[in-house]
Amino acid sequence: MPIAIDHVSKHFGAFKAIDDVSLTIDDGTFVTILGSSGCGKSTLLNMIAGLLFPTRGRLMLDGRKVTEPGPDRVVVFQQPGLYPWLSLRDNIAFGLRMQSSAKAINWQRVDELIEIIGLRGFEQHRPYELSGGMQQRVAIARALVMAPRVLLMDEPFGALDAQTRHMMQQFLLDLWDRIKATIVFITHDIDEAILLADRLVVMSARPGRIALETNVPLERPRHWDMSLEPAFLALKRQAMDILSA
Amino acid sequence: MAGSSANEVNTEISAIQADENFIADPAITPSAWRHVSRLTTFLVMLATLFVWQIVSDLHVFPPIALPSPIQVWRAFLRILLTGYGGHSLLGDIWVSSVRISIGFVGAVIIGVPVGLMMARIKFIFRIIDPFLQFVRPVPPLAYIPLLVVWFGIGELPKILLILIGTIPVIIIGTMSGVKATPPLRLSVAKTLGASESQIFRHVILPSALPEIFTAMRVGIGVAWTCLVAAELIAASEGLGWLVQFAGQALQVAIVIVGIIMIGILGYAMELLIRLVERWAVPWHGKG
Repeated sequence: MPIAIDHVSKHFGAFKAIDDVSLTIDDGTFVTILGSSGCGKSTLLNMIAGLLFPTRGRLMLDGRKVTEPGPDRVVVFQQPGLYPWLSLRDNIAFGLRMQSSAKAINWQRVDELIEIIGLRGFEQHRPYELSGGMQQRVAIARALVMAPRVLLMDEPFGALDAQTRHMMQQFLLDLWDRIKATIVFITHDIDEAILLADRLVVMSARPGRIALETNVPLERPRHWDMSLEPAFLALKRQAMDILSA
Repeated sequence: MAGSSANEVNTEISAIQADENFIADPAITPSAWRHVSRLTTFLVMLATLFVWQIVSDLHVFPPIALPSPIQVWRAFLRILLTGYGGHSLLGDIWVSSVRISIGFVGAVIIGVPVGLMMARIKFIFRIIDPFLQFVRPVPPLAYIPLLVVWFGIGELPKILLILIGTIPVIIIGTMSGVKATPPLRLSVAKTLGASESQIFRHVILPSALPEIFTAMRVGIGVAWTCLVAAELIAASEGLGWLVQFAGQALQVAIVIVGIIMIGILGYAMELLIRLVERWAVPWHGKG
């Protein structure tokens, strides 16, 4: 199990953002963490990323304590955060470039990912020449090119319009079927959380605690039609009860 | 007109697609209107000259105080061809341009690194900031007598005055550019494994560039003001000297030629910086 969160609490002054959370995340699992805003789910993700640190408890990656950010736990944020002075191709290669010279970069891998995210022909475009959905796909490719132990996604589709969001969810499902990466995905969208996940974690707010942790009993490959299946709806009802409590 | 009809078709297609990245582009305004707009500027300038000519022909003011545009044009040709006060107009333009180039480039070369270090290293900020805060509110012109006493009327005091006036503008712009780096860009670089120095070079520096260029555009105006002021008071050549010398001889036409030259050169420098900016920061306002 790559990630072990062991009785972790995070306080900001008197405010308990996260209170005594324990969670293990297995290799090759797609975990979604669902919660309303302010429940500390982003705080939890930032601690896994090494951008924040627990007030109490331990957070381990492959048996080692997380002490700093690293390319083994790349984050895809809500905004793509691409660098406007770099081309699409150079944006994707940014993390690799930080580890080696431009010549030593495995450009073939970069181009493969451009192919996978369906943006061939846009290699030399600047980010501001791309639509929001395209930019977010570039941000995902930029993370995946690092071949991270775990891909952390912090409401990555939250800023997109409904139609683009659906497209991106399907894109991510198809992508996951190909690469089977370990993904921790934060969202406040119940349908999104259930549709994407192997394992669903629902958090309650103030203080942020885990209220439900369960497997999602849906087949893969997944598709939006499945959101009408009884198993989906039952789980959705359960999650709604927690979130509205 | 084939081009403009093709433009219309393009506009229609993007409207039909209702593309999510469709952004109203000022460049797509009908080309006819652009021509009218440019023509307006030209007509206004022409009308101004015309009114000026009439006012001066009517002798509302004494001719010595307000020469006509035609007289100014003749004065321009005269000093362009035969020079004035011992040197040619081109010579004065050259001298002023060299002074401002050295002073301004020097200010950028010193100001940008100092600003970067001040924004990054608290210790250096604490050392330099008091001087900056002291120098900034004092109009640079107040230093001229001091500089003349210390360094005479050679090139050094003029270049120093430009430095004193311009460096604070560049430093403050650079610092603010560094501080304005969006936190998301930093978080992204951190999680992709960039080191502190890599983040500085590959993220903070390019993020600060737009503000550095804005500071340079403000700075070139300040530098130009400092230079002309220094030349007015203590110089034996240059455009500021030309204006001052002709003014003392009551040759107002030449004074006006000098003022117009100063205006044109200042504008040309601003344009040059904008050109470099467009090349170096093509993403400005888009990213």
